[in-house]
Amino acid sequence: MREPEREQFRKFVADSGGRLIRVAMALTGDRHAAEDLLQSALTSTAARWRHLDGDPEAYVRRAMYHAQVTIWRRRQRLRETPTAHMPERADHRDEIGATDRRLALRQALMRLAPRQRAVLVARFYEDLSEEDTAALLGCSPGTVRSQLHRALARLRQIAPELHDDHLTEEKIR
Amino acid sequence: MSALPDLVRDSLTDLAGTAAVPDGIADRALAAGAARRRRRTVLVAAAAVVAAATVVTPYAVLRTDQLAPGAAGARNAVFALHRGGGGGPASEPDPEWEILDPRTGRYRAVVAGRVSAPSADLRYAIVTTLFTDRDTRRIGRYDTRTGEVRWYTAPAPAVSTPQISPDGRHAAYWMDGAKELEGVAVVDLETGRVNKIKVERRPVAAGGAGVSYVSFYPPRGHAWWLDDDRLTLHDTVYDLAGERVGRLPLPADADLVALRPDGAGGLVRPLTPAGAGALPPGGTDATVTFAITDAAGAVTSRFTLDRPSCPSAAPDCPSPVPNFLAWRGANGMLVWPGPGSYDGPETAIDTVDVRTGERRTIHLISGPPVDDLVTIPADRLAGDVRQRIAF
Repeated sequence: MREPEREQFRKFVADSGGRLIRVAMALTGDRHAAEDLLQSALTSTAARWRHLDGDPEAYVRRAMYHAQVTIWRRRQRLRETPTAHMPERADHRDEIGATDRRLALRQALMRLAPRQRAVLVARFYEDLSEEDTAALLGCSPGTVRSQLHRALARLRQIAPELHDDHLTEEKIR
Repeated sequence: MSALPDLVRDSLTDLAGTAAVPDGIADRALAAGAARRRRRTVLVAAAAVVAAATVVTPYAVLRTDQLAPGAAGARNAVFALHRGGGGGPASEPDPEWEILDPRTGRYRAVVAGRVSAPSADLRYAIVTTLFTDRDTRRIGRYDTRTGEVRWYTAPAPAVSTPQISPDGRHAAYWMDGAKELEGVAVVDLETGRVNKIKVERRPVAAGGAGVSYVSFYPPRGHAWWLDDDRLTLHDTVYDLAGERVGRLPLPADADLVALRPDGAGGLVRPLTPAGAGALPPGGTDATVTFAITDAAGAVTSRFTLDRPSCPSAAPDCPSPVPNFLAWRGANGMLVWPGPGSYDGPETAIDTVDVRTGERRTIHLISGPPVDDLVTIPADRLAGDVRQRIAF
C-alpha cells in the first residue's frame, strides 16, 4: 500500500474507529476482546483496502459480526466476564432497582450464545431492521426473528429478576 | 419500569460506551495487513507441498485399517478441508481451503467461503464467496485440475453449500432471500442460465421453554442430485426445468439426511414418534436417532448416536448433531462430531456401522484444527493416488 493510501486508511480509522469499537464492545462484552476483534477486522480491511468497493466501515462491521457469530467454530471457550467493580448506588430506591436489573442484564447478555448476542446488538444497539440484520449476519429475516425471540427468552431464563408485569406484556416490533 | 428490549438497548449502550479506540490501531492493522498479503502469496505458491504433508499421515492409515466397520477395503479420502484460525474470537476467519487435485493427490489453497462435494469424475466442485464479500450471491465452479474458478452471479445467496450434478454441468442450492425467492435455484454452469424451483413448505410448530415459533418443512438446506437430470428435495423429485417428475419412497415424517450411493434408499432422521419405525423424534437431549431405508422406503436398520459435546461452554449450545460426511462401503458411513469435539492435536472423525450403530473414532489430520471438511469414497481415485491419501 502506498503512503497516500495508508494516510487514507488512517483517516478512515480516526473517523469511524469510535463507532466501530463501541460495536465491538457490545458484541464481546470485554474490552480486550473488543480491541482484538476490531484490530482483526481492520487488518482484513487494510489487506484489501485497494480492492474495496463500497463503504469500508460497513465492511469492517460485517467482518466483526462474522468473526463473532462464527466463534463456535473455534476451540475457544466462552468466558463469562465479571464486572470489574460494582457500580455506585444512587439514593433513589427506583434507581437502585434499575441499576441492579441493568447489572443482572449485562451479566446475562454475556452468557448468551454469540449469534444471539449479535442479533440483539444489531437490532437494539444499532437499531437495524430485521432485513438489514439478516443481511449483516448472512441469514434470513425469519432466522433473525427466531433468534431474537430465543435470545430474549434466554435472558428471562438466566435472569428471572427481569420478570415483571411489564415484561410479560412486551411485544417485539 | 421498561420493557426488556429497552433494558437491553440501555445495557448495550452503557457497555459500548466503556470502550475506547486503542492508540496506534491503524498502524498495527496496516502492518498486519501487509504481512497477510505476503503470507497469502507464499501460501498459494507452496500450497501443494504443505497440504499433501498435512493429509497423508501414516498414523491415520494404521488406525483406520483396524477400525473400518464397513465392507473390507472401504476407504475414504479428504477432498477439501478448511482450518479454523484457532486464535480465539478476535481472529480473522481464514479464507483458505485446501482442495484436492485428484490427478496428483496434492492440495491447492483456494480462497472460498464454502466448498461442495465434487462431481462424479472429481473434476469440478462448487465454491461460494466469502461472507464478507460485497456480492454474496456469486457461486463458482472450481476446476480441480487447473485451480481456476468460473464465477456466476446467482439470484440470491445460498442457504447452504450448493451441490454440483454428477456430470458437473449444473449446481443446485436453496436460495436465501425474500419470500418470492423461496425455493431452489438450478444453475446451468455452461450457459449461466438459472431455473428456479418454487418449493411448497408446510408450517410446523416448534419451540420450547415458553417460546413458540413456526418452522417449515421441508427445511431449507439440502438438494440431492439423483443423476445428471434429476434432483430431489426431500421426497419430491424434479427435473432441470423445475417440473415434479416423481417421489422418493420415504417413511412418513422422516427427514432425508443422505441418499445411498446406489440409489437404494437413504439415511433418514425421524421427525415424529410415528416416523421412521417409531423412533423417538430426532432423539433426546443426549442422543440422535437415525434409520436406513431401502429402495421401497422401508426401514432396514436403525441406530442411535450420542450427541457430541458442545464445542463451547455456551449455556445455549444448540445440541449439535453429528454431521454425515460420506458413505464408507456398503455398511458404513463417516460422521463428524464437529470442530472442537475432541481434545488433542488431531482432527478426529467417526466411522459408524449402519447395521449396528457401532461407532469408532479416527484421528485423522494433524496440525491446526479443521473446522470444515468434505470427504469422498476413495474408490473414485486412481490407484496410485488412492494408495497415498486414502484412509
